[in-house]
Amino acid sequence: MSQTAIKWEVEGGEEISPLHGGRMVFAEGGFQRGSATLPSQRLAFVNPFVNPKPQTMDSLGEHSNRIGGIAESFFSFAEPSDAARFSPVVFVPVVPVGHERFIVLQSWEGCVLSVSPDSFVARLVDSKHIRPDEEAEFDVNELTEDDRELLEPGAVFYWSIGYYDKPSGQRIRASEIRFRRLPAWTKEELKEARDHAKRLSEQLGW
Amino acid sequence: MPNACQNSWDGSRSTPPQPSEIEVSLFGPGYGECVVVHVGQGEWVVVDSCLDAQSKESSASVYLSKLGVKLEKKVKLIVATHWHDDHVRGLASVVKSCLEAKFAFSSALRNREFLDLIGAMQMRPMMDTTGIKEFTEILSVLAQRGKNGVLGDPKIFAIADRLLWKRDSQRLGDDPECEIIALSPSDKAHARALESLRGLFPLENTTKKRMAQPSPNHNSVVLWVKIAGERILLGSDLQNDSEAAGGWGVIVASKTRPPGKASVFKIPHHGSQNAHHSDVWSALLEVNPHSILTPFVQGNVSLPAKEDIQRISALTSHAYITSPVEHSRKPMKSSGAVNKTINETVRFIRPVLFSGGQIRLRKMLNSPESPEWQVELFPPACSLQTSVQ
Repeated sequence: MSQTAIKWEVEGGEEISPLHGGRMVFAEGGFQRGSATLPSQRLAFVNPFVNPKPQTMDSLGEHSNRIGGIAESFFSFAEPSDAARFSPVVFVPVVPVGHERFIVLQSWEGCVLSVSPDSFVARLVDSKHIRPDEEAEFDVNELTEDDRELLEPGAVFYWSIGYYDKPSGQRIRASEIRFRRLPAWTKEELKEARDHAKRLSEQLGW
Repeated sequence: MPNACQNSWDGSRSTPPQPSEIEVSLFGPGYGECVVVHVGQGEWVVVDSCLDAQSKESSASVYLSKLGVKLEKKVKLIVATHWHDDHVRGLASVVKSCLEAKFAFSSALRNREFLDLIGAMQMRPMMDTTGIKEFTEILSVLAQRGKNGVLGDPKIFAIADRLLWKRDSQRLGDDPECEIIALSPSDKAHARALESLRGLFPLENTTKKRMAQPSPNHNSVVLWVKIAGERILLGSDLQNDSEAAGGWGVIVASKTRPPGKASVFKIPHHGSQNAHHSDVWSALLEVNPHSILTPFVQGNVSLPAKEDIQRISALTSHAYITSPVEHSRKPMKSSGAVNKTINETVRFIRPVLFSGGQIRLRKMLNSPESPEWQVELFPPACSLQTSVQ
């Protein structure tokens, strides 16, 4: 991960760096406006309103959990609370050591062909066009409650198989089915469709 | 007796028929079917299209190219019996390649309702079905050819008792007479098709989704092919109709259909019970006709069912299928994590397309030495009876 130095000016002009990570912006009355790009790693720095010296999370030792809560509220709102404002230290939102990700091994676009009370059959098209088109029957239980409402012939979904890396570092082999939420046909679209048909009809001489 | 043949193109499979030898070939890779007919003198007719599992191109194009047939000159007629996905895959590419061919399709599709559907699906390409996609492309090619106007109107609308193609009598000479006539859809079926198509057009404020294909199919184009003294009945996917508006009952009862009985029958709708009409076997077919069909596997539907096979086998000892139905059910081989997860997630999974076989019937015209159809089965094509063993 590339490291981007934080540019954070506090009263008295002392610069806090290097800090790196996810984007963070806030402003505070009486102090200069600041912005930072912070990394996905555990970092802490001293509340610039009180003490501009940066510290790492590890250096905060047993106080880190308590401080974390303050920091979260501090960075979540434009106007920090008094507790955050006058706390001796805050740290940037805690980002885990590992990060969550899904490594796709195989994915399909599916279209529902038929639905029965406890299952549905779908046509599957391999997203990478390596496998031939396939058909499969799935248990309805594979779907979330939300997706079940979308289950009907013609509904489109995506099926991915892969590894889910948890923030804790664990790896899980997983299957994920997500139904595509499509908008409704509008009057304008249907008119446009009919206009297109009219043009085609003229071209064909029908 | 049929000849069990090698699938390789090196052998007899790529040998073209002689000019006076007629041929009916049926391809069916588990999902889809295609018929090619040699009507004599190197001229061909293509009915429907399915994809070759290896090349993913139209089976008709692949086969005719292997025979050395010049598609742009020698294919005279292309027929789309209906617009279901399993009958039109790859058809647009066939139409593009066959520059001199007329394209015939159901008159039931000659209406604004069908074009409206095309218009709607063009706006949302991912909502498209293969059938609509292929027809969109075909109509675009036809519009362009019609504009060029060199060969006249390239399209023909098929309706019951309409002559779709006839060999030019001016240059017949020794060439066999040939006529291809549509036996369906009937006028009533045509009218009902409009209602069905109208019902498919999306309504305002309804969620977008892929279009379902209307079923049962009453608007398929059934073809009667007459070459010299031989007659061939290509049953398409026409099913029976309880309201007697269309279906096989109308064809059987027709007083205007061409006379005679066919010696070859492409069994309709993959041998299903709802496409079977016993009077067809007595009124339109010779005794013990050569009967050919393709399997169909989609979701929980597998055709022909065992009862269908028994019924057909009782009617003819010359029944052949392009692949056993069980063959169509074999799942793809996967390995590793993907395979494990698939097996944990689904009840079944199987490929839609696989290496379907070919049934080839050939017969020399006016040859007392070989009065019978010669049957060649390219694997996994087999006789219908052995397909269940």
